[in-house]
Amino acid sequence: MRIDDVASPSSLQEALAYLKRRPDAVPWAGGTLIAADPSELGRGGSVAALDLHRIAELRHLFPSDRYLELGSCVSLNQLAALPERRVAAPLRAAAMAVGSYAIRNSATLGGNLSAKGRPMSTLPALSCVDAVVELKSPAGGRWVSVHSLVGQDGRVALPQAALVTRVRVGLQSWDSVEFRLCGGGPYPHPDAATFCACARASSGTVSELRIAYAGRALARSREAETELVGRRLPLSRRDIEAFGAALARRARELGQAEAAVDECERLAGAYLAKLSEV
Amino acid sequence: MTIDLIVNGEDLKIRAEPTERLAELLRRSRAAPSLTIDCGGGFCGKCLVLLDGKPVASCLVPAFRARGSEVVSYEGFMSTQEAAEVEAALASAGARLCPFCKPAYSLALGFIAENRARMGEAEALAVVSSVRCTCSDPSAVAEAARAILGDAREQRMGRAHR
Ligand SMILES: Cc1cc2nc3c(=O)[nH]c(=O)nc-3n(C[C@H](O)[C@H](O)[C@H](O)COP(=O)(O)OP(=O)(O)OC[C@H]3O[C@@H](n4cnc5c(N)ncnc54)[C@H](O)[C@@H]3O)c2cc1C
Repeated sequence: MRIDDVASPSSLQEALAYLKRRPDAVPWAGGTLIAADPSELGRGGSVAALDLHRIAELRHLFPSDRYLELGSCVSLNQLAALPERRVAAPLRAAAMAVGSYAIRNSATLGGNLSAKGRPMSTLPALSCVDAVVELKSPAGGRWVSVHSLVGQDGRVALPQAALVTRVRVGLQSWDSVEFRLCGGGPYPHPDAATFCACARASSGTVSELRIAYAGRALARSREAETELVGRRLPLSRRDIEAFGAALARRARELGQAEAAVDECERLAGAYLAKLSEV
Repeated sequence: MTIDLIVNGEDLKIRAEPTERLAELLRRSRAAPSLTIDCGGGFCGKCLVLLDGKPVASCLVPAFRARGSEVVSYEGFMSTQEAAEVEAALASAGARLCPFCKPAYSLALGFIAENRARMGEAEALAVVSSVRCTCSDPSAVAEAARAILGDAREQRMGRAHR
């Protein structure tokens, strides 16, 4: 792959003007994934690089009492360093799990979320907490749910010439959170995966449940989650097995390898069995 | 393209290919002869440098990202106040490091020393675990990191008692 031009705008306006001229330009945030997996540059013969690093607006953090708003170029270490009460627990866990400390100084939330080849570790966490994302392109800007960025194939597909500019995450508290890196090897291995689950319980029943598994695609079964809301804890073996089977079916539909299908079923089952202790 | 940056306090102006990585640029410019490019994929951390004060794996950083930035490599670190302290902490922890990982570990420990006022143990251990080398026992480096943090705590407590 050849890079025929590098643009390093210092404002979002300049970046969007560049994207208008070069809609094929590849946004370059921390560059840690692009370096590890050059297929992120696409398949064309030559591309332009749009370096986002100098755009101060993309590095802002806006904490409030109800939600946290993050510029897409906030680094994963900056995110992990925020006080616990300021970050949704699943997202914090995801930020702290990526690569090494040195990698997390470069790696950004926007770059992790926008990976084209396959979902990376923050996506299941952002999906579980129903994050919303601001997209900007030369045609304008809008806020969309993170779910709407995930296509039928379980991968993130951004519109052409669009940048992720901000991510907003609510600060609801969870009674139980589980986050783990799993799969058939450590990232950036193609078989690496991430499991994320969180739940709330009230008066001995499940009041909120989210479980997501990101292997080569993001698998989540919202119907199966809804089925378990209102059920008494501990959950019955039948309910746990039915949930595991639904998530496994979804993972299989997305073309995940059998090892990944088994793993997501097993991890979901183990999480739900443990939920009775909440 | 031309990259202007400051390496170990000296201005450096150098031509670079758009796909070149900071690690390659630093080696080529001879500004950081101690820098090792081993795995080239961010796993081993031996190419660690401080970029605008923060440790990064320079094999993953595009050279263009370093424009206008300040880079400190082991050569620059050796002339700082923290260098002697880091050497002493490594020696008393019994860490015998090879020439390929010592520069990276030293920079990581120097970063801990410089930021210890706000750093907890978990973060300090995460910093040193960015570097991996088969020559050394990671627990000895972790002990050196704890010692550096511990000295800071004692100094803070000493000041509070005075
Ligand atoms: C040794 C190692 C270990 C790793 N471990 C993990 C891990 O455990 N979990 C994990 O998830 N990842 C891991 N990674 C991959 C990578 O470091 C992270 O995914 C990182 O968060 C990517 O962020 P970045 O800013 O470096 O993205 P970049 O590499 O800059 O970009 C990634 C993709 O997103 C696009 N992009 C970037 N920013 C934007 C934006 N604002 N708008 C639109 N598109 C954008 C780019 O064009 C590219 O397609 C690892 C990498 C290495 C080398």
